[in-house]
Amino acid sequence: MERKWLWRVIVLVLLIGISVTASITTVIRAPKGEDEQDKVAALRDLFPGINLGLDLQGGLRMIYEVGVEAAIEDKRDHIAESIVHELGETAKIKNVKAIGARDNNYQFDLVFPDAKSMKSDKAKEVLKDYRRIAVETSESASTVHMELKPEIVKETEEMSIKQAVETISIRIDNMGWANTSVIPRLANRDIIVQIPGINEAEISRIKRIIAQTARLELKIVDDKGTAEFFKTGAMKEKIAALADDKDSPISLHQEPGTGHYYLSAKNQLRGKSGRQLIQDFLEGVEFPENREISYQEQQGKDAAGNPTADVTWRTYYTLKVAGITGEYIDQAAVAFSQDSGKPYVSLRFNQEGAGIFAQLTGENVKERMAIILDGKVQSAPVIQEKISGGNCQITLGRADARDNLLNEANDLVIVLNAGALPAPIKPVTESTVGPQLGQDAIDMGILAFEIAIIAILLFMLVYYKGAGFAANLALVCNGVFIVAILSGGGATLTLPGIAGIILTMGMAVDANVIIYERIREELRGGKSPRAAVDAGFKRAFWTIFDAQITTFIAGVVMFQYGTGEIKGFAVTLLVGIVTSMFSAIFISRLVLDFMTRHRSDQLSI
Amino acid sequence: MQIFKNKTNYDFMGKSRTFAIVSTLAVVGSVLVTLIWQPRFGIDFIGGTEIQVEFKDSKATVANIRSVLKKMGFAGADVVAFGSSDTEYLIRLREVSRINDEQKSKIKSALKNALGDTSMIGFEFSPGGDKLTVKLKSDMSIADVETAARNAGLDLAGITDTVDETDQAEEDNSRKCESSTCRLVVKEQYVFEISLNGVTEQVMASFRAHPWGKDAVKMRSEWVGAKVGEQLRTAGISSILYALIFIMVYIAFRFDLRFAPGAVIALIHDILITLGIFTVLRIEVTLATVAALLTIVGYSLNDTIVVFDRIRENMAASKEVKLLSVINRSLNETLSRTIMTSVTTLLAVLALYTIGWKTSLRDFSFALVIGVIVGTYSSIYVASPVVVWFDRFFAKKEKA
Repeated sequence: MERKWLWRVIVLVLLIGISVTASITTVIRAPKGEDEQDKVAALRDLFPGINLGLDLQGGLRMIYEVGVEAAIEDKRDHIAESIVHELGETAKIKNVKAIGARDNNYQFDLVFPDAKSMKSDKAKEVLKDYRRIAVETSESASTVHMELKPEIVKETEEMSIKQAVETISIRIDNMGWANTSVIPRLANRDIIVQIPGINEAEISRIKRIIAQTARLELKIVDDKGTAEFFKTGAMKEKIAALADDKDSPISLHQEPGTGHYYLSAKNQLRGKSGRQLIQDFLEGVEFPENREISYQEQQGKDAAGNPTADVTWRTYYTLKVAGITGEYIDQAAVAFSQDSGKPYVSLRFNQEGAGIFAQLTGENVKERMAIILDGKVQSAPVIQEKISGGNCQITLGRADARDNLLNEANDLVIVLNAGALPAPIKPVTESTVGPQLGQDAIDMGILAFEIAIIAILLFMLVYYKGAGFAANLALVCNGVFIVAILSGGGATLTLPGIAGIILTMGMAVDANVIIYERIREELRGGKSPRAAVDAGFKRAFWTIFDAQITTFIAGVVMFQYGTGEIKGFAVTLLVGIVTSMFSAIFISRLVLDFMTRHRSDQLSI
Repeated sequence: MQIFKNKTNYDFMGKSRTFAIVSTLAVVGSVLVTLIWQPRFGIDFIGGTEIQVEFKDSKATVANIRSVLKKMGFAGADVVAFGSSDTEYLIRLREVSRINDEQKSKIKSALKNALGDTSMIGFEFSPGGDKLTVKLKSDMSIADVETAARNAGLDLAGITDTVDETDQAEEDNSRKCESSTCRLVVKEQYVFEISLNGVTEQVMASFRAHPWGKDAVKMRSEWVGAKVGEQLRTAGISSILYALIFIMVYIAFRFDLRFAPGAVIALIHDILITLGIFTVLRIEVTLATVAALLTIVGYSLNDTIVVFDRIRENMAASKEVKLLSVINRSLNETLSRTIMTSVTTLLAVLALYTIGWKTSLRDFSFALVIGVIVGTYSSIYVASPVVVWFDRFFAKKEKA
């Protein structure tokens, strides 16, 4: 018995210790002094801290509908054209015409010059090769009616939404906003974009930029030029100053093997992006003719090479004029290497693009070529030899596991096709919250919380006396646990979320009330306080469980169907139910046991 | 301290007939009111625009604001004092765009005339009315397109920031952005995307044109397109239905099938009465209201289940045959708990309502206040009597 007692106290003290530690990152928003800053930053890796929702910190939230119909139509026209091309090349049937249906976007007709050529084995052979993508529905005279397979339509639809997400994310990042979120909802064919902290003046600008079409550029990297660029003029001074400044977010690196220079910087938490930091650093540097800095976003890695949560940006010293742009891309796709089975990205330029690309690669063998989408470097492979014929392969050397490679290849295809095939997007919902309103809401939430909890604490103390104190202790711990779990999970707190916490405070004592009323009944029935406490807890448990689970079910449904703010309410409600059950049963039991342990003849309840 | 010093022995079930009439009247009344008057749905369910504005001038009265909105052509604009300062208002408009279909076709034909009848092959407004996309077969300068758009009566957004695309534009002719228009070339078509001032920008500009409104600050704005509103409406209704189904399954599984109808009828009772009160008081029904209704469902059931749990326990413990008296005893035994929990929850919800009534939480916390009261009532006077009636009904059937 004594041992068990000790364990319970140890568990409780540990839990409270962990919870208080986890809450620090939320409570201390602006750490003072370097020492405190470092400590809080170290804690953030474990406990990210509560994020404030848009309604609490102000910002822009938009929902964009993706014009998937246009993307499907594009896909259909593209496939129809490639069948016509194939018929000409392989089956030697010239002058076939492809006509897209007018009343829908997935059917098309192939008009052959005559019935004989249509019925030829060679033509059938070509169409058979395409059955995975498009099937013949019927024939009439010299026309074959075709339609895209439903799974291709669906795939195109999803692809166009993902492309749009990728494009929008890059655009927002490029504008230097941190902590933004771009979430696709495939079922609704739309995308939710949230940008915290944006002000009224910037909104129309960002709206226009988001709705633009993607842009791909391939630029030659001037690695050999870095030595001179980093060692002359204003740049030389800045680099020299960097060596002395230990606290600068910018660091200078040399490429392994070749020794070419580049800069990198980590994204600041709730602050500037690494790219912005480097741009600020380069303020006043003059570039030689036709040279500029391009930026690549990278996931941070620890010493062992495992990915971390940080995001860093690095520089490439590139030519300013693009060697070739996305306008010349015909199509990008994921393909697999014949011998190793490794995925790579195959890119096909149109005829004009093929010529430009051949010349570009021929002149820059052994140089690197930066693949840049909307001003952000995606990868920078080395050109191995002159590439003619308009086909180019982008092999991905960085990731080693096959799955990672495949993901990376898929991402790159999304990005490349985003440049080549824009899916139009249009806003269908928009909401903005000014920063002042958010602050008012936080102040209100804290005040309402304080008033509610003081009223409940007093009420419980007056009504249940000593046992009320136990319940109150459980309630306060419950509050700490809720904040700790939200903080540890990096949850987003909204105004309804605050309401959820306050409501949970009111409902949390319910478990205690059920137990206490039971204990009173048992006492009235003539049991000793100690036996009454035992019986009360034992018999009340399932009642509490059954009663709480219904609110829990409602919370889960709310979470499933709700939008941002309502989700915030559901999360705090769900967390609150779990923690309040634990607090009521474990903590108040501990205190009541302690009370009846020494004075087993009486209980203040 | 104890509310009831001794064991209580109220005859709840004896009065159940009276309360059944009260409950039925309340539910029927609520349904009628909801059907006839229709609840006032918020913009997230029917689409529309909401703007919260703080004015720095006491002359910014509801009447002045209304007259500005009326001049702009907004029918049925709604202006209410809201927020922490005396001159802060919440404005609700049914429109998300000031351009109606008739105007759209007028603008279209005016633009067609200006840009060349055969050249224009595409014309589309975004749902928010803040972007116009025009496709042309032959090229034109951005300035010419913008002039034509202005002449057609469009309110172009004044974006002076041309982003960092100016140097690109010289080398590359495929996309170009000037002032409020971007021109791109897609498959030999010339696409002009013209940014227009949305409703919010236009309303704010109109306010700022008046001396009392020149320092107006937009605190918050939101617009929801009709299609999204429809999606949210469906999601809201299905979420309540799903919650009810899951809960019914749980009760049938954990308790007894004959308890489930009582619990669910009590829940429907709570939801309908809350909705009825909202309709009578003309309070907006929004997504937050749905969340509040779901919370009420959870809370009301919490109460009901504690009672059911005791009924189950008492039925197992005593060999008493009469369900009625078991229920009566159970209700009495759990009475102080029911009242205690309602009081603490009400304390929390009332704190939220009194402090938060100036924020968007006002209607949400009001729904919770009603829900806690109605939910407590229903777990005593609706859920348990229904269990008895169902029991009697089945008993009669068996006999027959």
